[in-house]
Amino acid sequence: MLKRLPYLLLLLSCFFIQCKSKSPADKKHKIAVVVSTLNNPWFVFLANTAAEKAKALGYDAKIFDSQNNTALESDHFENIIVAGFEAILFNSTDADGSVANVLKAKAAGVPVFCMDREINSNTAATSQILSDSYSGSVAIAKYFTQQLNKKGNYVEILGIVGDNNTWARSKGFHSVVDNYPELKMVAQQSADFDRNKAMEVMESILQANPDIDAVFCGNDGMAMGAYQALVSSGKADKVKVFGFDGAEDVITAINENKVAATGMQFPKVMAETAAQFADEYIKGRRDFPQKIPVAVELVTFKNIRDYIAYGKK
Amino acid sequence: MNRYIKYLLLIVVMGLVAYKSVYIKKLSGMKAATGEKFDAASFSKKLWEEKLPARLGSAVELATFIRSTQANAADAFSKYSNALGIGNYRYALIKVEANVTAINEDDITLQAKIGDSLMTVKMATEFIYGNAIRDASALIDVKDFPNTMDLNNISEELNKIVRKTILPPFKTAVKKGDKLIVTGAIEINKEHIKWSELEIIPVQLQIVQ
Repeated sequence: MLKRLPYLLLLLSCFFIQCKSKSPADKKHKIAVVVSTLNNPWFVFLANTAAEKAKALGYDAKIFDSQNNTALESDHFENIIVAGFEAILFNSTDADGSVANVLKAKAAGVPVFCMDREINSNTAATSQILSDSYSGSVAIAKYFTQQLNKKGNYVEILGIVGDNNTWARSKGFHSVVDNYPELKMVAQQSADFDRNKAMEVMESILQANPDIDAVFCGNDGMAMGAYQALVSSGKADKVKVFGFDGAEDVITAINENKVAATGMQFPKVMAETAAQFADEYIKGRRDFPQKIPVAVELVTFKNIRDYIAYGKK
Repeated sequence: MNRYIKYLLLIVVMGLVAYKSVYIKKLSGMKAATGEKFDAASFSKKLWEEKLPARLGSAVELATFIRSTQANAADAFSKYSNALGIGNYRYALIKVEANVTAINEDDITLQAKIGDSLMTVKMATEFIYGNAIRDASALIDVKDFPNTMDLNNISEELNKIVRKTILPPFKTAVKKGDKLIVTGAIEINKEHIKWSELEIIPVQLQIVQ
């Protein structure tokens, strides 16, 4: 029996080591980043920044791409809940359609922090950190009206119809331009925030309305698509293009006088604030404001030197 | 016969399912779908009449504000400015006595004494938009407004009061060479302060000579 004692002690010590390694204090917490699409560099930047910040705060972070599909987003939420993630940094696919997914997480005790895209519920998410799209578009519209001397024909290319940002940007824009009756909107069409679709939409609009002076696009991807269509039709020098986002190619295009202006969003600020909030929630904080607007800054040729893509120099 | 009834019933059921599954909405209908419950016009009118005058009384002199930001920007922005959201834009209520040097289509050029030198400042008379008045007033708490459109509508209604009631009588009365006392809101990008591009959104205007 004494001969076997060292083996028994070894076995016992292994058991205690095993118990210690499984203790909750040592377990690495996990944060999920669910993003509407990774098919757009802006959202890639948003998701990567959120994941990097979560990692910097000591968490395991995993990115889930919803591919602009609410059903896929729903599957991600189910997997995230089952896998034991402790918070979700969320960029929604649909302001209405995503609410059920957020409620599912809430019911499972997983806090959700929305980034950039709003969901239509004031109680589902723990907090929503959102670009002030409306005010950004107001600033763009003011500049737009000044650039066009308060008159001319223009086109508006909208983003995804189910996304609140689409309408916040459109409403902000119209809250200014609609006060000038000589500014006439000859076409308003959705291109789903997609560059290629915007190019096709713009090409078809140009066939029906060859005499336009400007185009306002709900994001920079669509602005570049519209610009490509204008280049193809030989109208790029005549028609002023306005975007929204502060994406890299548009910042370059503004510097080269190809695009007139954009609204600079700060995905880094939104992603890092969301990750910081998630960390604070996990550590016990509960009093979060439901919505926090993040200012959008007007970028034109005049102040382009103050900016780089997705932020300020 | 029974077979035809079965087919008919099947068609009716399929038609009903299809009808209930698809909703077609006009784009304009989607636009009007949000932000309609809160009466921003009444709220803003009340704010303008009952709370804003007291705030205007404590507006900082433009010269003091500029001097303070040059001495310690962080302290000056913390003491004199406000913003509802996160970001670089800060808003302040300022007061300045200045001479009208030009009356332009969309603004008025003013010359004000700031310290020992004269400074040229624009005062908007056409493009009264944005959040300058709402945020500079510091009368709104973002936690009280979970619906973002309500906050936007407050800004719009405050701006509308300036466009429709403050500016029309002023624009007909003002002349080049007049001396003005202006109390208004300014927007400053705290990361890139450009005093040469300063624009005042007027709230209270007085022609003193």
